[in-house]
Amino acid sequence: MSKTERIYALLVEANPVPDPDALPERLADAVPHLHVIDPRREPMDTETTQPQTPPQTGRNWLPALGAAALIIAVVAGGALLLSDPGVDTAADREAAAIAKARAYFTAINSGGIDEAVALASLDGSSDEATRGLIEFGAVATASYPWQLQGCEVVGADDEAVLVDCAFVNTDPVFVATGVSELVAPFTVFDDGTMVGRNWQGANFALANRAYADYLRTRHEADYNRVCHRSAYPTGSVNSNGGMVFTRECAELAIPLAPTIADWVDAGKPGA
Amino acid sequence: MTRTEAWFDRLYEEHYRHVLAYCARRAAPPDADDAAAEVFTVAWRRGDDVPGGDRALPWLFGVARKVLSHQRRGSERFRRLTSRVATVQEPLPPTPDAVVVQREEYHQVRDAVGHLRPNDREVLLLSAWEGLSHSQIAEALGLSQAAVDKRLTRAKHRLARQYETQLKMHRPPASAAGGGGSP
Repeated sequence: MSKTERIYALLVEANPVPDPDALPERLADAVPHLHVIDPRREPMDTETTQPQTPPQTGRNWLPALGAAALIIAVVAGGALLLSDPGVDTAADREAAAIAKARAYFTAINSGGIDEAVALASLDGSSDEATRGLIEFGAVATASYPWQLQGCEVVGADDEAVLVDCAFVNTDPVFVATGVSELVAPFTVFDDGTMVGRNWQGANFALANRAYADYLRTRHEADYNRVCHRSAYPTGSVNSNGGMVFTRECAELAIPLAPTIADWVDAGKPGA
Repeated sequence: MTRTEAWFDRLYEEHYRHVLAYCARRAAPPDADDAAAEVFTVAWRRGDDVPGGDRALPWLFGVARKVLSHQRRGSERFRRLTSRVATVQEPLPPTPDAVVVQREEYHQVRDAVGHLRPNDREVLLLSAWEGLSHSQIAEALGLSQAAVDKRLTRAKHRLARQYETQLKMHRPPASAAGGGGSP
């Protein structure tokens, strides 16, 4: 066994909970009363959308009253806090972060390259590479917009708010390769800067590989000239799945998207 | 499939303890309880999004990962908490000396995994502690299986490097190495 595998085996052994069934009852006792939660999605049986009131006993009213009093106290305290105009609420912070993430989609869908570059420095890459990435995206979204489904806060600490935005990439190649539904995670810092985190590069790679495979097969010279990384020996470019993200590569690839999608659907003949 | 209470009850019965274990491996018990409950709250709300069969548990782990990210504040806290949950359940080695040695090794390897990048750490733990297959890890993390293969291989190498580095920097005391002497 190699050293790497031996240490991995040690990690397997070091599992702090090797047998879930052996968890202490105290930990496993936390059974939530989930049946009283209103589901927010349809379709749902009408029965399940009705809150199920747990069986009540005569002994339950006292703790319930105590809990109600506590809730009232917390709400009253919160109201006092919110009434202070000098206090930024967590909700305001989260709303600002979401607005910033949404603005990125507005910018890129409208061809606002400068605005998009100003909003996000994706993957911490250099300005040149970021600009190329955004220019590629702007060419693509001019024909096939990214349909934003919604953004939500998925975490926060004392420096930044993490926002995930779900979107549909309407590019037919993404549709044909089954990766049109994507999530764009952003980290929005309190100083106003924002970066894109891991944009599901593996999913993008599936579509980009289809683009690259087609272009290599049918437009080899053009592909090597503008879409292959070797065409940028000194420049800073992002690449994924055999495609580089520059305006020139996008202008070659994107107009061919419907053809490439058909080619993917047909099983990539000749590839 | 219509998501009924019966469906939810089955989902809960089949997977709750595994989700709780996932959370307990990454958070202190009270936080783990809260996180596991939240995972099933999400599953209830998003009933139609929950895949069936073997894909359900990886999906739940994916939700748990996000839920725990609310609670976790960086790898320092992760290391502290994983050390604490080490008291939940330890495999019992055969001799007292081995207990000391193995616990120190477990501590070291957990410490090493806590120093890895979050993406490397998660793919390693889903494999090592949750025992997921590569395709299930792909489901949990929203990746292709090829990406998981590559990431897991890379993460194992990084874990080995980190572990070796830590051993050099922090030699265990004589008692931990089984030599006796130090209290």
